Amino acid sequence: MESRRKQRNVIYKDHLTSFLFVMPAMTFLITFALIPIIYLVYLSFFKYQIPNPAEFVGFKNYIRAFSDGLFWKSLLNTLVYTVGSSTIGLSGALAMAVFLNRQFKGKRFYKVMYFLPTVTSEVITAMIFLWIFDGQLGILNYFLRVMGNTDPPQWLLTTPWAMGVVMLVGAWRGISYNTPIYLAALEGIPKSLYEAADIDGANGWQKFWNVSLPGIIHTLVYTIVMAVIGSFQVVAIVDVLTNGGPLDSTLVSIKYIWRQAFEYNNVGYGATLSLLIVPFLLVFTIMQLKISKRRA
Amino acid sequence: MCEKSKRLKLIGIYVLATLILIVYLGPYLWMFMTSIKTQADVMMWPPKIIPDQLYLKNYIDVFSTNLPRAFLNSLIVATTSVIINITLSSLAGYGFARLKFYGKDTLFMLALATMMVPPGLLVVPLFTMMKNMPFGGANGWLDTYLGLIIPFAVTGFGVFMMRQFFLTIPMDLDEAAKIDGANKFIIYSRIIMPLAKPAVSLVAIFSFLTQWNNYLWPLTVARSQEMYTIQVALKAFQGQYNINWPMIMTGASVAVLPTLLIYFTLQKYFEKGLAGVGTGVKE
Repeated sequence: MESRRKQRNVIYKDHLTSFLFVMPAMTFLITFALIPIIYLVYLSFFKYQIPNPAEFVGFKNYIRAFSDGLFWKSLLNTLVYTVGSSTIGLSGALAMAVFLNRQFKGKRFYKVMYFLPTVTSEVITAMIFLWIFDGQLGILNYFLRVMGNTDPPQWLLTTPWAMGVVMLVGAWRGISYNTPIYLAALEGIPKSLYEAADIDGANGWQKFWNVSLPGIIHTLVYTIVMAVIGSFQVVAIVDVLTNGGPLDSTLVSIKYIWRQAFEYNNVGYGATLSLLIVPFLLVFTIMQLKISKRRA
Repeated sequence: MCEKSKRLKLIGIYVLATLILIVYLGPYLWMFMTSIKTQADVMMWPPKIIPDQLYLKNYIDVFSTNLPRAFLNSLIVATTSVIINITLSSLAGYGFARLKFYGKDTLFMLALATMMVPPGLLVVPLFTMMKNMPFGGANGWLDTYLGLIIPFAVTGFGVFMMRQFFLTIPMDLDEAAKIDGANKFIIYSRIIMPLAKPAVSLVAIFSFLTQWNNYLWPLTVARSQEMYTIQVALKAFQGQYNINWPMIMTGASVAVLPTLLIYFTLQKYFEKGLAGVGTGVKE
C-alpha cells in the first residue's frame, strides 16, 4: 500500500517536472494568441474610446457594421486583392518551380536570387515599386514613353490600376515565397514515375498534369490556404503604395479596421469589425480545402 | 535537326532565366542605383540608369534622421525575440517530443492552433491588453520595448519546428544519459540542444526576419518616434521625403541590409526550412 502511494507520487512528480518544460512557452502562446481572440469577442460589445472607460452597448457595434458601406467595400477590396494576388502568385510560383526543376548552369544562383523578396519587408518592397510605378519619374513609364505611349497611366492615382499594382506587388512576393516550397515538393516526386510516363509516350504537359500535379497536391492545398490567410491581412503594401486610395479603391479590411480603432479611436468598433472578417477567412479556408479534396 | 532543337531549347531556357532575373533582381538594383544619385539626377530626362558620379552623401544624410534610432530599436526587438523564442521553444519542443505528462496532446494542439490565428486580427485586442498591462506607465506597455517584443516573441512555429527536430533524435541517447544519472534538464541542455543547431538556426532566422520586417504591430504599439522600429520609421520617412526619391531609396537600402546579410550568410538553412514548412505541417 505504502509503496504504491509512493510510486504514484513519483509518477506525479515526474509528470510535473516534464510539464514545466512546456509551461513558459505555452504561457506566452495562450496569453498573446488565444486569450486575445476571446477578448476580441468581449470587446466587440463595448463602446471603447480611450481614455474613456469602456461602455457596454450590446449589439450596437454589429448593427452599425452592417450599414457601414465602407466596411463592406473594404471587404470586397480585400477579396479582390486576395483572389488576384493569390492566383498570380501561386500559378507563377508553380511555373517558376517547374522551370527550376530542370538542370541548367547557374541554377543555384537563380535559386538564391528569386528568394530575395521573401526576406525583404513588405514596406521596403512596396517602396521600391512605388518608385518604379511613379507616374512622372518612374522607370516603367519612361520605358512606356520610349516605346511610343505618350500618355502612360498614373498607376497609383487612378482606378482600377492602383489595385492592379497592389496585387502585382503581392504576387511578386508570393511567387518568391512559394517557389522553394513547390520546388521541394516537385523534387520529392520519384523519378521512376516520370520514366514510366516517358515509356507511355507522355509529353511535357501530360507529365505535368498526370504526374507532377497529383504529386504535389497536398503542398498545393497548403499554400493556397496560407496565401489566402496571408493576403486577407495585407496592409503594409497598401499603406506605402496608396494609403487606401484612390477613392478607397485599395482600402483593405485590416487597414479600415486599424483606421477605425486607432485613428478614429473606436477600439470597440474595431474589435467588432475584426470579428466580422473571421467568417470570411473560415469560409475561404473550408472552400479551398473542399475544392482541392474533390480534385485529388 | 535534333541537335538544333536542343540548342534552341537551351537558348529558350536562358532567355527565360534572364527575364526572371530582371524581374527579380532589377527592382533591388534600381533601389540601390537611385540611392547613389542626387535629387537633380533623378529628375533628368532621359533618366540615367547608371549615374555619372557616385553620390554617397545620402548615406551620410540618413544619419541625421530618426532612422538610425529606429534601426537600433529593431535590432533590440529582433535579437531579444530570437533569444526568448529559442530558449522557450526549445524547452517546449523538448517537452512535447521526448517527455510524458498529463495533458500533453491537448497542449500541443493548442500550440498548433496558435499558428492558425491571423496576427492581423490580434492587433485590436492586444493593443487594449498592452494598455492595461501592469509594471508599465499610465499607458501600460504601450510605447515600450516590452510591448514591442513580448506579444510576438514566442511563436507556435518555433515550438512546432523544435519538436519536429527533436523527434528525429534517437531516444537511446536520453536512456543512456538517464542511467548515468542525468536529470531531464541536463539531458536537454547538454545532450539534445548541442545536436539541434540546424533547428535552432532555422527558428532564429525566421524569428529575426519576422520581427525585423514586422509593420502592423509596431505601428500600433509604438506611440512616439523614439520607439519606432525601422519599418514604421521608413513609412513615416516616406511621408516626410515624398519627393526626395534618392533619400527614400537610401533609407530602404539601409533597412534591407541586415536581412540580406543574414540571408546570404545562412542561405542553406532557408531552403531546408521552407521545404519543411510546405511538407511538414501535415503532421
